[in-house]
Amino acid sequence: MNNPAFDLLMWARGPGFDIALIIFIGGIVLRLTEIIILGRKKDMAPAKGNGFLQGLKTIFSRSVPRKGLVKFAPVTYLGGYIFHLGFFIAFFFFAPHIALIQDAFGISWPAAGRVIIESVTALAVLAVLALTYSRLTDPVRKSLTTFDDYLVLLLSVLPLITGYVAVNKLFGDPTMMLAVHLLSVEALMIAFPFTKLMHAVSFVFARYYNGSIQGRKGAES
Amino acid sequence: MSATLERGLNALREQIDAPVASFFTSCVSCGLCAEACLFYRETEDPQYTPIKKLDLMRRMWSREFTLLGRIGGWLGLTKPITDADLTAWEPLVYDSCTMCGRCTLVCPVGNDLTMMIRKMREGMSASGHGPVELIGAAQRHIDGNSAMGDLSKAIHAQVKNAIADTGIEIEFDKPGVDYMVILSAQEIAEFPDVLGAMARIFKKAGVSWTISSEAFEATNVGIQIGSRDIARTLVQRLVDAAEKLGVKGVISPECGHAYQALRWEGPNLIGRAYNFEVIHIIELLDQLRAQGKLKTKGMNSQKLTFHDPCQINRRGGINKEPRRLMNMVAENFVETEDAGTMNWCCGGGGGVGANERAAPLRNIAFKRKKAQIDKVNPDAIVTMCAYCHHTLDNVLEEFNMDLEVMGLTELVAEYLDDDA
Repeated sequence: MNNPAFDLLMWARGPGFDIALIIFIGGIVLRLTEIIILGRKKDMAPAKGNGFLQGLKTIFSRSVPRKGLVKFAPVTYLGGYIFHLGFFIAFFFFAPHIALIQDAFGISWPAAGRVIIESVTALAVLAVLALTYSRLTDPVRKSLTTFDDYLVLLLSVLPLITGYVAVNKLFGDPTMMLAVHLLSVEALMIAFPFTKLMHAVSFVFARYYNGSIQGRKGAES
Repeated sequence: MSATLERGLNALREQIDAPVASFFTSCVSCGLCAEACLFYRETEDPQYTPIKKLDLMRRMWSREFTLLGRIGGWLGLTKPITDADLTAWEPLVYDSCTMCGRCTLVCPVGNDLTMMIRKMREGMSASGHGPVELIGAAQRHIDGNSAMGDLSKAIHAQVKNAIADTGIEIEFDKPGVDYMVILSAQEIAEFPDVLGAMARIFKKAGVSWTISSEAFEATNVGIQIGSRDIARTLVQRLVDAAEKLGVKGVISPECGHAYQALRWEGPNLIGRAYNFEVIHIIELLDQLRAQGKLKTKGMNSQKLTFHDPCQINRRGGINKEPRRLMNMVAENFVETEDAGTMNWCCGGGGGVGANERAAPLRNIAFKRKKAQIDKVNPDAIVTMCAYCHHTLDNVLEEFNMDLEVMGLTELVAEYLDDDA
């Protein structure tokens, strides 16, 4: 009865996941507190536009690149879009993931077909490779890149690769591969609050502030 | 640690608020801000990537305002900012940034990098770092009445000339009028025709106005060098003069950072709202147009294009007003690519124009503006900032481009319908 792969899977599903979830949520709360606690001074200049509404609008509108800019950094823009979209589709629309969410929260939605999931996963992995390449070669990206950036790319791509391997039973023991997949997700969750992965939450604040600062002045954002 | 370094670090520390923390937390070092920056685009030197110019501030934020950074600090994994760091960053923070604000509009996570440069300059100047020209200008303005020295004789002479040219009386220190007019030093020294233009337009429109002999200079080097104390003192002078005269409003002139200083930063600098409104001259002209009080006759037939000053449009929110006025007086008005909110900076803003050390780099960066102008090949460029006007005049000459530059207020006045 001694199956280390099964034991590992059980640990990853049980205590491993709980630990990761606590660090993930606790870390996000800590990081957001670090931001919000600093506050900002009330702006005493009479407003020309509605900063609040433009702040909210900018949270969404900044997802679209400004006209004419894509051609100057095509790898960053296209790689960025493909990775983010691929990751989200694979995460939220893969049937077993939806089943997990239904178990936990009792809500569900239609799943995407396997061809779609596998295609977007493969594309997202390629996008990470392209983004990594541009960090290694493009002078601007290279000069900005730190260990954190490579770590974040690695942590983001591992769940995609391990998931793909586990689902397609490409190699290794399937139980072991599923455990490794779960562990890679947990590594991502643990690192999330303390690395640049945190942008996935804090961007809402940053875009809101940007839009509200500009919006008060009646300026575009 | 030296006293000045400590003062600088304290000033920088004070600038770190929730927006700054959210911006640094969100940066994924994608480098897209570089593509928006005229200094990077023309040099392709990665050191001019906007977020890199903020690295010292980021380091301070990380080390002192995040738990992980603090632990890193205790373990000696990160280094505190030294005076040598500040010296090394000075050219990045002052010479290669006009605070034009394009990076703020392209950052995918929404970082207001320009606001952070403004904040970082507080730390730089408090620690004794900053271009000597700006330090000198600040001293002159604090000791006297203008960043250019004593301009009180000049303003009186220019007013006298305007009265002689237009036959319209312009009174100093007249209480209870609608508006107090202030001018940028550049206008007083180089483009005084704006006085006569305003006199004619306001007379037709029935707007009463005056100039304070105590505070007539709109520029505010405190905003550029990054010193809240200097900026506050200069704003306070204007506020005191306006409130003493009991005017309804103060007209912010064709000057980018002056508008930013008085309209947007000023109330926050002095800690209260004013007892008068601040209106940009172009906003006022557009209002008068809408009310039917500004009527023009005839049109300029040259091919005219418009240069948007960064602090007035992108960072000031005045975008449509000048275009409505242009369409009143320009028969052949052509917009450049990227006109409006994403217009390219003339390269002289944010104190860069006054900074001699920055001149070679500024001329390289101007190639971006030049390319934009070349594409439409206009006969003349119209703008609404005297310093953009001054910069364009000078650099166009350097590039042997025979192009006239004009101020929008003067252009409108030229076609004022005197019979209406």
